[in-house]
Amino acid sequence: MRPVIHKLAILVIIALGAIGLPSKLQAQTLQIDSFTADWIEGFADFTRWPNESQSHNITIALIDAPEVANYLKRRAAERTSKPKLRIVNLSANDSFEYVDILFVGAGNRANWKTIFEKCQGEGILSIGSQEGFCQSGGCVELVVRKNRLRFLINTDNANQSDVTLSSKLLELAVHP
Amino acid sequence: MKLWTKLKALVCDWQISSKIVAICAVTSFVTISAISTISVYRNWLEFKESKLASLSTIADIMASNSQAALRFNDQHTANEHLRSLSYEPDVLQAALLDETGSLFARFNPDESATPPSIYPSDGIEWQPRSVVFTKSVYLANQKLGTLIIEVDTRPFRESVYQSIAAAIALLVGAMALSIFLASRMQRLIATPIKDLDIIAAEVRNSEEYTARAIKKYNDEVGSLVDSFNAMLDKISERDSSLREINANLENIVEQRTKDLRIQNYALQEAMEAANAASVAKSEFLATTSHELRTPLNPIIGYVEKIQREAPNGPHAQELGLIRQSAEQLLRLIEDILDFSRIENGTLRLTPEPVEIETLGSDIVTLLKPQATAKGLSLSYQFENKIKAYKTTPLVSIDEGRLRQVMLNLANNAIKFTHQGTVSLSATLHSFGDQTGKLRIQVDDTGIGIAQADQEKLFKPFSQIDASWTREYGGMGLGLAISQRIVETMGGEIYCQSEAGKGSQFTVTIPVPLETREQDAEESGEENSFALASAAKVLLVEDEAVNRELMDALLCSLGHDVEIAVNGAEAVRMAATQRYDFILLDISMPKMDGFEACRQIRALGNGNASTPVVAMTAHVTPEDKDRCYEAGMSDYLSKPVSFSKLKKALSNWLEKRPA
Repeated sequence: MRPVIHKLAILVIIALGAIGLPSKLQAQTLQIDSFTADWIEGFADFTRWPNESQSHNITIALIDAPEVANYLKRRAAERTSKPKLRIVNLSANDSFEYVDILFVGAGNRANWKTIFEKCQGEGILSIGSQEGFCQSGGCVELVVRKNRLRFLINTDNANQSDVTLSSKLLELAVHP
Repeated sequence: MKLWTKLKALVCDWQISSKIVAICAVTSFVTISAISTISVYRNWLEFKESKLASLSTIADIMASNSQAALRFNDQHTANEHLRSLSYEPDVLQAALLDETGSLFARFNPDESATPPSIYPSDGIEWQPRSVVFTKSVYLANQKLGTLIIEVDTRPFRESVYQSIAAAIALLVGAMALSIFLASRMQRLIATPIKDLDIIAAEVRNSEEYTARAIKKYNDEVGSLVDSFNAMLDKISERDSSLREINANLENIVEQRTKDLRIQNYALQEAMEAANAASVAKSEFLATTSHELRTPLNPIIGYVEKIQREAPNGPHAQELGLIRQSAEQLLRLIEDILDFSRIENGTLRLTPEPVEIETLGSDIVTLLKPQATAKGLSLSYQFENKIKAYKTTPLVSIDEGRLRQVMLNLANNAIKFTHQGTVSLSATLHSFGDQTGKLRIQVDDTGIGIAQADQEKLFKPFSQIDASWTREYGGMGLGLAISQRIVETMGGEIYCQSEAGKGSQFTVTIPVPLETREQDAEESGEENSFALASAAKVLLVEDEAVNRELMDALLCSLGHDVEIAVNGAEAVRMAATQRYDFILLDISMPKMDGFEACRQIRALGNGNASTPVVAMTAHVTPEDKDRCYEAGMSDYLSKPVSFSKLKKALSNWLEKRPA
């Protein structure tokens, strides 16, 4: 009788776990999106573009990251300081003209090559959250270290994209 | 305030050198103190500003460097940044707060220190021992957090202490240097003044003005030295001048003293000569008077005797003329003597209580026959205008001299009036307390005096018209003598007259007043003028004629007369006999009257109290005084008339003891 009860208890726990795990994962994903949006905005403050002027507005384009885009839009609306942010959703095949920061969402690894080629020399800071983004040609890769969101910077790629990153930003960057 | 006054008084008593050093020291102290204070303050300000600026810069850098760490929530990097403040030894601690005010990163070398409290606004907050910088961290106008840095203020204090120490050291050094230099350099000012003071003291003590101060510099002290030396030159010059003047003065004084001495000798000799002349004159006058009076005595006496014994004799008229001439001669002699006394200044007044009303009445009575003989009306009026007294007061005046003046004026009026009236009036006016003014006025209707001639009136030996002397007689001395007598009495005499319309002579004399005491007694005395009862009289007279005359007069009065021919004989007789009355001539051979009287008084017998009456032609006041000094009781001047003798006898024999 006792083994049955134990088995039942284990099954209940597994069942309860199965029921709670997706919601927890969903909450974590939302938090990461919020942080990601926040950081993308932060990168805008520590990056200099060629021919940047006082009235320069920053266009942030997002590929396959609608949640992040939503967060960013809200932040952009709430933002009182300059430069003003303009948030647009793009696909890898769209034109990157007027884009200053490009966030590449998950699931676009296959388009990275295209994306990086379009960014090269155009003054576009490319940011990705998938592993190997920087090694593949991206400028900034968001990573989690010690349960905290951090980022990697590939200065060579940034140079090739014709953007300059603040030393302060570089100081915060973690190494691969 | 008292302290300041005392301090000032104390400092004022210092020597000049001390004052100079003190002034320099105080000035240096004040100046260097002010400079040091300003310097310390400026150093502190500069240090504070530079330090704060430096710390502010560090805070700015730290804030800027922390932007990314705050933005990307990188506490590790933020702590790393704050840890870099360890190179700033003054930083006690630092903290980085996030935008919510929560502690984001902290640097705390001293683990025990409490974290700083939150300062909402940017700026500097001074704590007791620290300064807190608060700096907001912004990124694109968005506040990311707050940086707080707390800095130790010990360096500030140390900086101030060092500045103060340096300032004190500078002050002490500068003061020492100032005092040293002042004490050395004060000699430039003080030494010449001291030298000047020494010279001045030397001059003052020695009174030798040849010393001179040495001029060392061409400053104010040098100018003072020049002035001082110039002053000494002047003083020396004046001193020499004064010495010369003194010497000259001494010579002049000596010379003048000699001259004066010579003049004094001359004056003394002249005075002696004058005195001798005066004495000789007086003696001459006295002798002349005596010698003239002596023969007049028997002339008048015998004429009077004959007239009394045979008033209606065959030669009564001639005898009257003889007597009148003799009396005129006597008046002339008396006038000359009086004038001589007045001119010599030897006129003496003997005031005595006088009843003016009676005196005037006597004079009128005396002159009445003369006026009547000329057919003139002679009147007399007395008025007392002093109401303060119950009865008419007596006046204190020399009766004889006043009588002389009144007689002279009245006599002149009668003499120069041929018809009409002569009136004599006497009035007593009040002139103050116990003093009155006697006014005597003689009016006549005589020949009068022209205005031009009136100034000659009171000149001696002057008659307005020389022919008057022949017509009216006299030597022109009467008015002159009267004027001088009145002036000697303190009064004045003046005349109002017009030729042909008569004259008015007025005399005013201030007179002391006396109350009348015992009228009854006086009237009793007047009534006593009666022939005294027979008395034993000693007549002493060397002149035979006079002796016989007086003997006859005395005998006619019923007295028992014994005769002595000189003083010595009189003394011998008085030694053995007691007399009721002694009539004593003065100028006698062997023993004069003065000595005889003294010896009679010295006998000590009954004659010591016997009335001794002098009978002499010596009529000066001095002679009179000598008589009284010799012990005589009374004095009769020659010529001795019957009435005078009778009155004297009556006076003195009434007083003899019963």
